[in-house]
Amino acid sequence: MTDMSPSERRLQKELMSLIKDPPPGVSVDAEQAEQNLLQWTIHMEGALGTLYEGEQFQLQFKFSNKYPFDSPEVTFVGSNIPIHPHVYSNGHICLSILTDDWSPALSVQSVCLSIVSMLSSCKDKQRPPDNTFYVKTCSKNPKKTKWWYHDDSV
Amino acid sequence: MSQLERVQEELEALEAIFMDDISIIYNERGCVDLVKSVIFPSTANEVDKQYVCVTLEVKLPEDYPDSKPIIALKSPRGLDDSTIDHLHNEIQKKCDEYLGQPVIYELIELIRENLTESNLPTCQCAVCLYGFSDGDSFTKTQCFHYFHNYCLANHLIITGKHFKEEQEKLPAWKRSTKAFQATCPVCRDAIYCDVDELKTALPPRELDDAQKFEVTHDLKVLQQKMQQLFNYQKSKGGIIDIEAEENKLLLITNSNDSQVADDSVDPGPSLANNIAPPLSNGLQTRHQRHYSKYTSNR
Repeated sequence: MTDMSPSERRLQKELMSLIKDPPPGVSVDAEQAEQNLLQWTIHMEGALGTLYEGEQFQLQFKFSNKYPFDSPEVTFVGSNIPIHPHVYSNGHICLSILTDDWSPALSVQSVCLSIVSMLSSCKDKQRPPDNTFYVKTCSKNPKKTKWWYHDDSV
Repeated sequence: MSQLERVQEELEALEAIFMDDISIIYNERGCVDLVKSVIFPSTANEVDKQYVCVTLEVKLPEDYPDSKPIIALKSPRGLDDSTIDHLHNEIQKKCDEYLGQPVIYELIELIRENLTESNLPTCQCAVCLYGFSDGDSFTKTQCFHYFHNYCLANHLIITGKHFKEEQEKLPAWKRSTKAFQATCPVCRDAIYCDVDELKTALPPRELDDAQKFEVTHDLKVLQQKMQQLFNYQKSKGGIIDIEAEENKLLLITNSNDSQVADDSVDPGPSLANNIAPPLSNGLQTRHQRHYSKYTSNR
């Protein structure tokens, strides 16, 4: 066993609890995460009774060695990107806790829960109005985007 | 004495004892709805040393004290679930014991005693997710959340730096006139800490201890066994020196000798169970080992 940095220790702890006791509809690709603690893939099911019921999504989490002081880079990946006013078709998510409102007391689990809740409160499946323009011009890393958080309704 | 008078008397006594530390909430009919008190451990009035607290809420049913009050413990700080469960059990026992008599004072004292005994946060640091051990320097924020000084310092340094960077990116007229305000990682309440002092703290013990790697007895034994095996292989020519071999010619003899397969059945010394039969020539070992595996499968 090699020496581990505090961020790796914390990620290991989070991984354990996510494997043992995941929130409903959420599961982590444990093998991949164990291979590379800094990049996880998470499978997420649309919550029952919402517009996304029965849909499967994949989230990618990338961590820097400053985690948990630095927020993880979270995007939707794979073939099914949810159609939601805060999710761009390239998988980028407009969610304040992923940048400005990040706190080290948040975790992978709480981020997953926030995203499930964000999807669940959606009443009208639509892409963001500026989707085409943003997807053409944005950086690959959603954390480089200067997000403007103004809509708390969904 | 009527029921109402008995309750009234108990509440008056409580107010006299606890004064501002207890609040009695009346409903619109003028009856007592809720008795509420934030309970701290007794630390001889040293507020700085109170590391845990809990809010007790007592709802009085109409026929109290002849039936048990309804108890809720809210906003526990520095207490984990098992401690709260234990407290709930103790409270129920006390309520059973005091059925028919005033019990609220007893409950407050019971909780206070319990908190005094465990006046060290039993929760985890929200930043590193490790617990607090004896000797760890930690901070209790004004909002009763707990962090290792080491972890909190990192948080404050990084958020402070981030704030400055973001400000510098903005044009002058857009910059915030307010100075950076540190916030609690858990509840985002403003916190006031001395970063320079926090910075000097050592990393949390649990985090540090977990990092230490010790060579156990088992590992030493394993290491010795492997060394023996290595020496055995080396003495039999099983270890190939790549540099020395590079300048040699590789000759492969394709003799169909069944003896080779039989050789591999003989295990040799117990350590070498999974190793090919000892052979004198390193070059041939490679070829024949491969070959014997092939024939024995047939």
